[in-house]
Amino acid sequence: MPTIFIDNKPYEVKEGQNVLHAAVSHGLNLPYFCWHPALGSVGSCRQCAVQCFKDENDTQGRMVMSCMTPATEGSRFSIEHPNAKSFRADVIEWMMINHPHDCPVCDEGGECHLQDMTVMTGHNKRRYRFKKRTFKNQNLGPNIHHEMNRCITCYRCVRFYRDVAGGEDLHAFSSADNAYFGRFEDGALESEFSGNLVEVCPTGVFTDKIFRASYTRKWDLQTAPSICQQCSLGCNMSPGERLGKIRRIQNRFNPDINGYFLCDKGRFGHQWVNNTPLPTKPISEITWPLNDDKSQVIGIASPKASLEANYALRKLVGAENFYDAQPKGDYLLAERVLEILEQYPETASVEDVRQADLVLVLGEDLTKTAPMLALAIRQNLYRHWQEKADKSKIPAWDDLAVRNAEHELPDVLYMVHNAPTKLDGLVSQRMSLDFEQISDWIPRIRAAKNPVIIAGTSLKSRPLIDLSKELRALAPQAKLCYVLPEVNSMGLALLKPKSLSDLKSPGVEAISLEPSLKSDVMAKVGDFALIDAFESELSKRAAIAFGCASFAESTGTVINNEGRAQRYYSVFERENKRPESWRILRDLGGFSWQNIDELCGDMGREFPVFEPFFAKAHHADFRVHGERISRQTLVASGRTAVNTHLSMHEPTPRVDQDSPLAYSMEGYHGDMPPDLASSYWRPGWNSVQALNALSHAPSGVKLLRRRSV
Amino acid sequence: MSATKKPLTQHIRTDGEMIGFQEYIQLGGYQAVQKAKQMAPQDVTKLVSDSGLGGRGGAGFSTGFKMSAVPMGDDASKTKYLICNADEMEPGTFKDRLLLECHPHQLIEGMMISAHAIQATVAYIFVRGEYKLSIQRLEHAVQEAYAQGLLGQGLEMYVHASAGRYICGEETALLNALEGKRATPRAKPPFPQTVGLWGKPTLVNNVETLSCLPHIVNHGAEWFKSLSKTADAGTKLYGLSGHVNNPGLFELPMGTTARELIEVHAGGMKDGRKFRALLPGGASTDFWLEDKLDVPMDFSSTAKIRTRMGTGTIIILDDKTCPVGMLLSLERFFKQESCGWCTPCRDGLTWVEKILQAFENGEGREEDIEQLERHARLLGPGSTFCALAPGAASPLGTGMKYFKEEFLKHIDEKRCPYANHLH
Ligand SMILES: Cc1cc2nc3c(=O)[nH]c(=O)nc-3n(C[C@H](O)[C@H](O)[C@H](O)COP(=O)(O)O)c2cc1C
Ligand code: SF4
Ligand code: SF4
Ligand code: FES
Repeated sequence: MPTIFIDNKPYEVKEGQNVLHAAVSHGLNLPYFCWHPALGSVGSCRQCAVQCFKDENDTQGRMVMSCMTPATEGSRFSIEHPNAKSFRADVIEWMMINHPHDCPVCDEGGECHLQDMTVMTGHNKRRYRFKKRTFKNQNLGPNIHHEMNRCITCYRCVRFYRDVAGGEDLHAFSSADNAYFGRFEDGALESEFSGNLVEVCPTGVFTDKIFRASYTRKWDLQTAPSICQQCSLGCNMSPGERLGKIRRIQNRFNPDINGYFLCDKGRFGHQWVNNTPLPTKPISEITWPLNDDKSQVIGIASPKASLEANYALRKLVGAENFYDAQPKGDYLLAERVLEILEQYPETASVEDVRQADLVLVLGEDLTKTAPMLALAIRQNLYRHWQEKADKSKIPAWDDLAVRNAEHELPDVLYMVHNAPTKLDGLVSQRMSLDFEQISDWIPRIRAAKNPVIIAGTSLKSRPLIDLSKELRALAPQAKLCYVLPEVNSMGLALLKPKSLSDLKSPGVEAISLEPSLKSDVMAKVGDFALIDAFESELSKRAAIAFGCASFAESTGTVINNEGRAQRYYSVFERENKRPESWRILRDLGGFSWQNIDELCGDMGREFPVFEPFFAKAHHADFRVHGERISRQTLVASGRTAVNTHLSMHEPTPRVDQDSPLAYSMEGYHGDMPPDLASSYWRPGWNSVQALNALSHAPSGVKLLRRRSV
Repeated sequence: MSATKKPLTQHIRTDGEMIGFQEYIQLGGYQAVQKAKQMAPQDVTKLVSDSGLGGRGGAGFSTGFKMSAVPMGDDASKTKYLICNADEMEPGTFKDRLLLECHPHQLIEGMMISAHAIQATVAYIFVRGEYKLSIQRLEHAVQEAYAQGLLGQGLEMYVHASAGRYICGEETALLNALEGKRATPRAKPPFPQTVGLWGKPTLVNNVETLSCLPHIVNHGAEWFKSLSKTADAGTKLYGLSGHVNNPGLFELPMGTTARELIEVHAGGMKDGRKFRALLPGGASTDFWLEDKLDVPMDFSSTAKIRTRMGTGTIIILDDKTCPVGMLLSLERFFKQESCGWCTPCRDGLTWVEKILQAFENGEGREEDIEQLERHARLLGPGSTFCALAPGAASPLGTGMKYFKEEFLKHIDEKRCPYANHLH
């Protein structure tokens, strides 16, 4: 690792980094705009200027842009040098000549990179005495609000949207100080990744439309680390709650999976959590309408519910009566996938897809079924360009140089598919779903160093799943990646449910857990009890319905498509708190688990496959310096005021039984275990950019092992 | 062609018509390229290096050296590009236009020589969009060359009309424009010679630069050097505009002084007008006062006194024209033509233009002068992404130095003191 000197202090930096990246990774306060860790450098904003010196004796130096300067062994820089420092203040002053002075009412205020950088450079006096230029805004659809006057022309939005995510309907228009970032005409943004603009834009041009309608500041949100519930990849995210409602979801950095980005399903698909909750009653107050002998009742498990809930259901009804509600085909595929993975447990993470030298996609339309894999493939192709450009001595971070140097589509993406997909332009070889000529590809697969074979259940095709296995058998170095229907499909499969299609006694009574499929499944059974979070058609038909906490109000474990166990934590507690599904099932069965750790203890003993995760997961009694970790920010406002119409006293925060997190602003706020961090903050860094100084990231635990024979 | 003192322009017709293919052949055209093709590519490059030819696009950088930076040999890319920069949008500059409109075959031959030297397979002539006649005549001439079999055998040539931005003349923004991207410059390194158009080795040269090549091949490096009065080789197409009696273009030995240009060739100042200052090479050079009139106008003599000749097409400022107004129209141009990529240029020039407009309106303030001076400093080399902003800073910085009194007069009188004069 090279050592560089910044203001005469040595810093160890990563090989091949630029000076800006190195500096902010070390937590130094060096302002910037156009650079982004996932977008690389382009040198346009000129905000990151530092003084660069030839050697120790050079006191004068010359100004360079740190983002465009490689951090080579022994090189010397100064952030504090008056020349660079005053230039940075000048750049901010230029940025601000047209910027509206509306921070107090701006949606971005309080988590604005521009705000942070302006404070950092010390610019606080207006000298520009002319009118600001103004723009018209566009209606960009239901998710993203557009406020062009706030633009500082850093070009990050188009670089993400077009260059990284392959979107075509967002452009940089016009030029000079009239550059405009928007669509050709009003209309919803078409990209599946448009929501990342909210985090990528360093100011308030692109903001979360759902969030801004709630007039909530970042610091008033209660957050907890969570896992996206929308597909089987298990992207890490951080939902924010205020006054009993989920207000938004932001990305939670996990380099193995989602990295810096989320798809729109994950980011914006959260308002269902604010639906009318299904009420519940304590078990002591109900009359149980079904057979008292629970072993006469079947349990219908759910790939959307936590591992804990499914396990509790299994415990309650017994392994014999534990059924998977998925249609027969899906069930068999999931079973088949698990069978294959027990033979070949080396699954590919999203990051493995980014790093692969060959990606085979068998039948999945990834942009729809696992959007972040589609993004990963785009990132993969770019990474190939970076590697090729490296040979012409172009550093990987020199984004435009890489894109200008490389034009040939890398020979990476091989696809078996009939229908058009959004990745078609990136495919180097394609075959129809009957894959008759698949043998043509075998030499290429064998020759690959770290190929990934992606298949999945969306086409309900057994032959495609079998093909993936055959190809894996031919290429031992390959990793498998299966796209499954739901967030916890893998977790449920590991609990070995039976298929509801094999049900021998139709009309039997059932307990249905957080069903993902509606009435047609329930037609097979007789009277049923339902455990679900929200009112629905089913809840009206159930003999008895228990309202349970949604994922946002409960803590639980899900296992993603690669067999990685990850925990999501309760973000908030509703006024009328409903128990977690597993607590309802516990009470129905009279089990003794007091908290999730006790349940997981039992589950681990019964299913040793989960044990490595439970051993590593933070138990409820985990503390940092004797403190719980706070879910609220240090400056949460209105805390004592919101309830004054009811009581002068601040309500006592409820004690979280299942996690080391506190529903309070009191608690630990410093550096924390990455799996427990839900927002990024450092002094002077109030925006998501604070995460650049992060040294550790969450990882979860990969569970699949080769089945011993 | 016979050796001459004015190789570039001696045959240019007085009726404004172009020199067509037949006429060019009769004048000895396309013999140089044949001669060059007998030579090894490296020898052509060496000849150009030896001739001392410096880029006429404004920087004067050694053309031979640029050629030698293009990767050669078996390992090099098979596709290489040669681009003729005919964007000529520099205010006050109209030298390339003459060569394009009246002598297109000379340029095509020059490009063929250069293409041989770097083994380029495709050549583009990137022409300013408003140069309609140039485009028409170039297309005609290129077609003639194809019809005669000169082009199309190992070298394809295309005429590309620019969509019309000053920044497209900056060689890396030109590459982006040709690729159909936004015309913003690229960072260097990598240089276009290694990573250029569509990532392939690419050489970009100015019209006048390329037009010199047939003559260098025909008459040799020593002859080319002997054309000049100074260390920089060749002739130069000098131009003059402003209130002189005989504005226009003059091909003269490199190193001719501005005084000679004004007094001898342009027939002196118009009656009633006195010389006040000049911009030597388009808008993006320093103002020169009387004291620089005897400096040889070439690249190295001007570099020695830390100024630039630029394109060598002089704009004269006389005593009846408001220097503040002139600065306003220059900076308005630069502001408008900023590509909008980097902050100092995009927003700094906006500020500059607003202040100058305020002066023009009689609303200038004393603190504005400080702002203008500050911007002239800040937009200089090293702080912006490309050379457009430093170009804008050159007349601004020297203007603030030389014409401060004029600014103060605007403040005192709350109006432009020249408002009643006819321009
Ligand atoms: C803003 C800007 C505009 C330019 N416009 C032109 C132009 O119109 N024609 C030109 O030949 N060079 C122009 N140049 C210079 C080119 O970047 C480049 O240096 C030149 O084409 C190289 O050719 P030469 O070596 O033959 O001079 C411009 C440079 C800048 C920064
Ligand atoms: S809209 Fe945002 S991201 Fe795009 S250029 Fe403007 S400030 Fe940058
Ligand atoms: S100085 Fe910057 S904004 Fe101006 S033209 Fe060059 S790159 Fe564009
Ligand atoms: S961050 Fe370096 S120039 Fe923008």
